[in-house]
Amino acid sequence: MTEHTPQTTHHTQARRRLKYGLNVAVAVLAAAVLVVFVNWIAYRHLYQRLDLTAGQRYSLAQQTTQLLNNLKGDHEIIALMRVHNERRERVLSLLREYERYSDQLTVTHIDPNRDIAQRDRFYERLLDRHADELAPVREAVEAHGKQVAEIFDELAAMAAPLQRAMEHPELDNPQLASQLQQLLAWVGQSDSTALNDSLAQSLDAPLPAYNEALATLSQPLDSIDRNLQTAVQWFQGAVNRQGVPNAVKEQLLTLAQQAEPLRQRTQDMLRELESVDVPATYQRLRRDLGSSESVMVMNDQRMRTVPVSELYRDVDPRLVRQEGEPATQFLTEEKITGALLSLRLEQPPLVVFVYTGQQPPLGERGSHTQVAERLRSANFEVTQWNPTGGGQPGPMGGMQGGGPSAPPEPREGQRAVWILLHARPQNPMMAMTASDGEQTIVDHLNERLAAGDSALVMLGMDLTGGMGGASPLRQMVETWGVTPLVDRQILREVRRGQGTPQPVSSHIVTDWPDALPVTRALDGLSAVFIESSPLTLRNPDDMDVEHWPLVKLRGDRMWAERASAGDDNIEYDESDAAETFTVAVAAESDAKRLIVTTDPRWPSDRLTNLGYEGLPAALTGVQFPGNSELFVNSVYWLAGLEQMIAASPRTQDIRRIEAMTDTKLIVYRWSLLVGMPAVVLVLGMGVWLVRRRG
Amino acid sequence: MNHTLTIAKRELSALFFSPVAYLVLGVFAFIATGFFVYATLGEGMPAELRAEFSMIVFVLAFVAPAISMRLLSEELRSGTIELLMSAPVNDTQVILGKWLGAMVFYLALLAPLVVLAIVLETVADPDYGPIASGLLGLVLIGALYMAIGVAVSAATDSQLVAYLLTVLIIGMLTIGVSLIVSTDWAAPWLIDTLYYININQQYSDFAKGLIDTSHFVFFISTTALALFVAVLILQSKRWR
Repeated sequence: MTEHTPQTTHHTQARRRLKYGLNVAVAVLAAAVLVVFVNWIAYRHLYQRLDLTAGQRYSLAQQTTQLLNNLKGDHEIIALMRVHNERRERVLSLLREYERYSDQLTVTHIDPNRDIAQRDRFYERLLDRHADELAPVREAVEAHGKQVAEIFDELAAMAAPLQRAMEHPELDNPQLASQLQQLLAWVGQSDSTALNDSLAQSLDAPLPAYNEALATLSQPLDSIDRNLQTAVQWFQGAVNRQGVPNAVKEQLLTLAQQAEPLRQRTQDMLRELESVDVPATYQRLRRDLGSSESVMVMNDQRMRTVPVSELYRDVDPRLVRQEGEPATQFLTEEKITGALLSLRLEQPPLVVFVYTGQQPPLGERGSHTQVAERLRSANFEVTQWNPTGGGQPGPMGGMQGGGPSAPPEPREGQRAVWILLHARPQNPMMAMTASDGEQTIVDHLNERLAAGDSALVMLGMDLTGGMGGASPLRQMVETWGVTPLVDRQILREVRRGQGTPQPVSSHIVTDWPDALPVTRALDGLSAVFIESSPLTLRNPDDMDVEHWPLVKLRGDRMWAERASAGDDNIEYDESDAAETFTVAVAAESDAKRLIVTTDPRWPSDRLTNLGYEGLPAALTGVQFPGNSELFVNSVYWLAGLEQMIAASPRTQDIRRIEAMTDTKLIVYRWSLLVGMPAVVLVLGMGVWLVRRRG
Repeated sequence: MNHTLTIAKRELSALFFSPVAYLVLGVFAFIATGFFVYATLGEGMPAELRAEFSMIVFVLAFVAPAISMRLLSEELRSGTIELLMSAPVNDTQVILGKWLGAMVFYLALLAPLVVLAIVLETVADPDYGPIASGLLGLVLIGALYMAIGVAVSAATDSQLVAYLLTVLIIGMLTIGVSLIVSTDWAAPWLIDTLYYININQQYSDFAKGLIDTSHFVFFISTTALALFVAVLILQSKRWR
């Protein structure tokens, strides 16, 4: 029998504790593993979400869930963004909702700062998508890179003969010596190392900067071309100069003979480089990914990029103060659903800007580049047409004349939207006439409308009061029951300085009709119209037309002035006054659609890129985002794609505390601050008294 | 079950018959009301309690341990644990009873928030969805905090130590994981895991008006885990 000494007992207890302790540790570990497993199952497979907010703020709309349930083919949404605030979290949370509703859709989040390897892999995938288009560009850049290096070597080889010519003991022409010295200094700098480094930097980027690479090649070639031209002139001119020994003349003539073919090669290379076209889709992709975080929506064939900054919209601060509406509207669902819809477009619509003035709407000095770029980013094809042929952009960005050009033709099955820009006459006192191309435009437009296209007609004031005769375009518009009173300008009276009344022609619109999605989606935005004439509407006898006013100018002391430019004696006229003037209308007849506006400037870059305090929008933000948004929505509607219009966000359902007088507020505050704790303390006191008695 | 309820009732009586409890309730009511009247109650302000709830979640990290700290540590200090353990109740019933009693007290603690919702109704037309889900989320958070508090309380006979340890654990599961997530050195899988176990993150959807089953399962399962650990700790008293 074992004796139980204190040591033995202690040892036995220690073993028992260890045994039980291990038991407990294993039990805790097993329980923890079970908890992890249960959470994993719940997160991955049993995920359900109940949205208790009024208006289903965090849930997808029925339109979206239907779209997702009927998605065909694999789609991806890649959110390339940091999630560092509530807005971004909400974006990501909503994107994950998309994934829930469709097996055909996967959502991936890549933090560009944190998930660098994943980001680079994604960029490689994007490059692969454009591989076929970019292959010739890359080959051209690499090939020309080598050739430019060879040219640099040949230039460097000219240094020795130039040096000898310059140092010839019998050379007695200071001017020639100076010129040779300049040339020697220039060829001495001909080194391709910096060029190669710059090219490598451009091409080794995750998304190679081919435009930069082409510029890196073109710039030195251009410089070489000019300098060689100068050199050849100098060399040939040296023959007739005094103080130049024959040996030097011969040497320089030899150099001239070497330089001429080199220059020819340089010019050939410049022409070849100019013909290399980096695909616009790739350029847009680089720009979108480089300038801001984005959400990309893609399938096998197409891709749309939505900048994160477009996923929520800051409401005009003036509206927040006035109406107590939320400062930010959450547009993620509208933008992403719109992007998914646009991927389904087999034939993206064609948008044609029709103009007759000198300034083209598109191109480097275009007047409507901002709205055009927005349409291109929605996968629309955008082009321009000048039926008079004048004012066509030239290859170097300047203007060149030309004969009348044929209108762009939509492809088979492609719908076109024709944007008719108003051409301001050089002399506003000279009326526009049909010879300005208007009849050609109207004839073509009628033909295209009959074929199923649509049009946005922007009319402008005719300050001559119709002296130029009836405008074919206005007559066409009137057949739709829309009568533009372009001999009038809508003015409003403001009081400035000493209270002196002054007429102004600019009108800010913040209130939008909600009959059509075109303007329903503009809730919370402001737009400006600076040169408007009134429209009247009627039902034409021979056409069944439905009208929806899109823009109504409202205000006190507003009137439609019949005046010519430069009239200084304009005063408020009660007889022409009204509280509301319609300046834009959408019309539909037999599935044909037309939008007419009587302000010619509203979607121009001048207003869509206008920031606050007259500064560019890039610095301060866009002051009137409604201008651009109205234009894009109008084109969507005209193209029959109203489902792509961002609907009015449901976050408008923010309930707010009603007006309270100061007295009421004070009563509430003190009642609650004092009352609630007092009730609790009184209860506690009561309990204490009861216990004390007991 | 009867034993559990008996223990819960006893615990509740002890809590409500203590003047200190009313001090805690009063202070909490004052803080909650103070935040409401100065941050929410104003013309044009959103008629919601979301900001209020976010503040309460932070305050709960200090208030909940104050409720749970004495649940078992007092019994351990005074020696009445021996009586409890020799009674015909098992350890699970003891833990559950203590926890339930504390939970009922906790629900009373949240009562001022219901009053604030009623006050909001008199000055606005609030959306009750987020208010209801926010309150539900607070109940789940409280359940977890109480469960952690019970486990820690079972491990020590010092109420102060129990309080501080509970606050520390809660702090690690909220602020601690947030700090780690924001660093550069954590691997992406670790960041995602820590993001998931962040209690504030799990609560945030409730405050918005969303009831997400994964968050629900998180709170229920972690509460159950903490209570299980509490049972094991109490059981260990027998063989230590």
